Amino acid sequence: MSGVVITGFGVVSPIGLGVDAFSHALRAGACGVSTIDLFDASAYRSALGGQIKADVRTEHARALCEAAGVPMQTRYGRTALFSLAALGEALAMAGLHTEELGDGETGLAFGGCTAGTFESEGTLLGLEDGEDYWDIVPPMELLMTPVGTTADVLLSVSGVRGPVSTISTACSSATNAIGLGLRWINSGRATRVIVGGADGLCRLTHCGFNALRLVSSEVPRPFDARRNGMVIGEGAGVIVLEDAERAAARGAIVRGRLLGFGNGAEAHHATQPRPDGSGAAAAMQAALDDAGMDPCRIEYINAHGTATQQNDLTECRGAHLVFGPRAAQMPISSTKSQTGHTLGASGAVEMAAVLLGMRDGFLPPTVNWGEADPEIALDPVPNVGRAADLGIALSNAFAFGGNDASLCIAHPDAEVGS
Amino acid sequence: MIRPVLTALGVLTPLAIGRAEFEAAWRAGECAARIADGPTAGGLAVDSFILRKSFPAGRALMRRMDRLSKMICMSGALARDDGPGLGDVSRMAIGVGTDLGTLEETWAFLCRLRDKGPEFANPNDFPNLVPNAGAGYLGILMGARGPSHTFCQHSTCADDAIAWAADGVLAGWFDAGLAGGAEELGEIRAKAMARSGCPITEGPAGEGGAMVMVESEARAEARGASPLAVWRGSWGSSGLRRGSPLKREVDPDAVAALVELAQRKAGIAIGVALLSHPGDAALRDGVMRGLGREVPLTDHDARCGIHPADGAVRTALAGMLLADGSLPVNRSGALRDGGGALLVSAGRGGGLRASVWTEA
Repeated sequence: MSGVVITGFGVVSPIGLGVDAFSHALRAGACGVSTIDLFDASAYRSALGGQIKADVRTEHARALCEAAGVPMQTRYGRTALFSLAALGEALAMAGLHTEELGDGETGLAFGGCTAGTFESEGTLLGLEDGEDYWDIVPPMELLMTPVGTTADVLLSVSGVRGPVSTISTACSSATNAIGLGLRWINSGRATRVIVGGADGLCRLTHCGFNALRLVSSEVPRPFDARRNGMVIGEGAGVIVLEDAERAAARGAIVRGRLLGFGNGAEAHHATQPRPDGSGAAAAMQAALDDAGMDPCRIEYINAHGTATQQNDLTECRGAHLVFGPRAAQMPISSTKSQTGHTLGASGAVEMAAVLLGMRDGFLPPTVNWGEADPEIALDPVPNVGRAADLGIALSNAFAFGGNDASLCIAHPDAEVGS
Repeated sequence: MIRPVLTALGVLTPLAIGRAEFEAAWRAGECAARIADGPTAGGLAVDSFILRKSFPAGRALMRRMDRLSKMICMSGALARDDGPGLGDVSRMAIGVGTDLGTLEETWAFLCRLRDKGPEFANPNDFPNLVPNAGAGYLGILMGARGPSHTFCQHSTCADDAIAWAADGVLAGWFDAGLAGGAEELGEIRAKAMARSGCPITEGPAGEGGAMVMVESEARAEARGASPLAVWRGSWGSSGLRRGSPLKREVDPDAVAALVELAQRKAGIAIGVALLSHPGDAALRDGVMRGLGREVPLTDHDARCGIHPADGAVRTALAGMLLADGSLPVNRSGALRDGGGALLVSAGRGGGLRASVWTEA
């Protein structure tokens, strides 16, 4: 086997902590959307969120992190803690310990948007009369606010000594970070790259999407005629990418293959997608071209699927541009219906959903779906996972700034020749 | 064999705006004189560039933009105008580096949320608070439909963006890249730096940025653009000192190893070094040890100010130094001794990047 393989992955999400719980919840059609209690959200248009309400430091997570040499430190804030839990699980699955990552050939490419914003904004918004923020804010909160600090924490605990980069392209951050890892391996910059993304809920993003009237006060209903907006979620996904020969040499179990990556700018509008779907189509086609993959080989698409009117419509149009009439029968589902929109983490969380579908033999569903939209001709895999031997899939992520990205992923045993 | 070359420079710094103006000011030994008052005392701010008649966007788009995005777009437009345009932009990538993004605007947004409640949040503000807003606006302005990435790894962010663009041209992921970065200086950045125990001690805080055009030599030739420098490669590593994951504490051994690798892989002698923090003794020591000899350093820090995305400004300066051997490296009048230009950036958290350019 040649190319880039996936040897481990970890996930922290509102519907499950760890890949096994996540897979079970995905398949069962669980929805992790509930009333936010992380902060007072009662004054917003929507008080709903895909909040992780359980303590991510489960006994299982602690055991995995300990096995991989990853300390689950809480002093860095929620986003970093999610990332550490996912990192520990990914390394444990890959059969790696942090002591093995300092070879200079292991890199780190991570995506995100919010980092430690929740903690620092909490101090600002909780000021009493007469208090000056700059007198009372803990320095650690400030240091953890820039988006690059999540990677700093992962770097410090993992001992990685190769290249490191943070990509922040809003909702496509993690997908682009995964693509960057693929590029680094393909171009010889590294032979192993830890990739992924993480974002925690915070008032800044919740308020921002509320102000834009892009959120729903009901559960998200992607691709449904009644859809009326997204729900913001939180989570983390970490994936270990390795050069296939290096992975084979150390006897690693291959969990999947990353065949291709596409990314393009729409050059259209700061927040609105091109209505004809050409931006979405270009990213999917670029991922297929990069993989050398015939579109007819694609069996499933994990959609961006935010449940906004425009996104779902243009994503469907994009799929029809790439796949032609076959798109109407193509299973295209939205994991965001279950987790909420985990923003900069979504590309990694949703890639994990695809890998679990491949591992456990099902297509992840679109939950809360009940009424077909005549303008959206596709198979949304309604409400519960569908048994399937999934071989090759795409995973999409589209973002503000017209940033569209797509990954082409294959089961380890899939025949990938075009 | 594809050779990525540097063909256009768009520079927006406190020293000067525009390549010709910057080069003239640099040659004259000028130092940015406008010292900001108040909380940013000691910092160097860019001029009121947004009032220039040449601002590239129409009024509607300009009204929507935040200040950082305006810097990025202005720098991009300056690069576009520094030569015969951009050529076919259908496969042109946009790469932008920014560590702090729109910190000032984000602070203002949160203060309004605190003081007035969520119903008064301005929907026009939020899209500008994502770090890739500037890249998005620049893509719209230039009509670029290729890949677009925004890099945020502290002081290596702009170097990451330019290295990605050059890598992409070399590998054929896209035909050309308009890449660089920008950072703004304001009250919140100054207060945050002071409060977090990370005051800038190596030089005055600055702002602004640069965008540079990277494309294949063949593409440049076909459209009549003159190469200023040839890309020889970029290498990243991390050199964290244990126990300081959130501070910029340079490990000179890691720097020396990276620089030695960069010089060896580039296969050329280095004639000038452009460091992210020339005043940092550990960084300087690591670079000189890695090179195996002393080379002259630029003094851009004192003349333009330091900010996390100034790797873009240093790349533009490297292009000028490589294109014109009579341009002094610093105010002492030292000249590049014929070798290539080495850029080394060290970010807090331990990220390191070394890039090498040579004469066209």
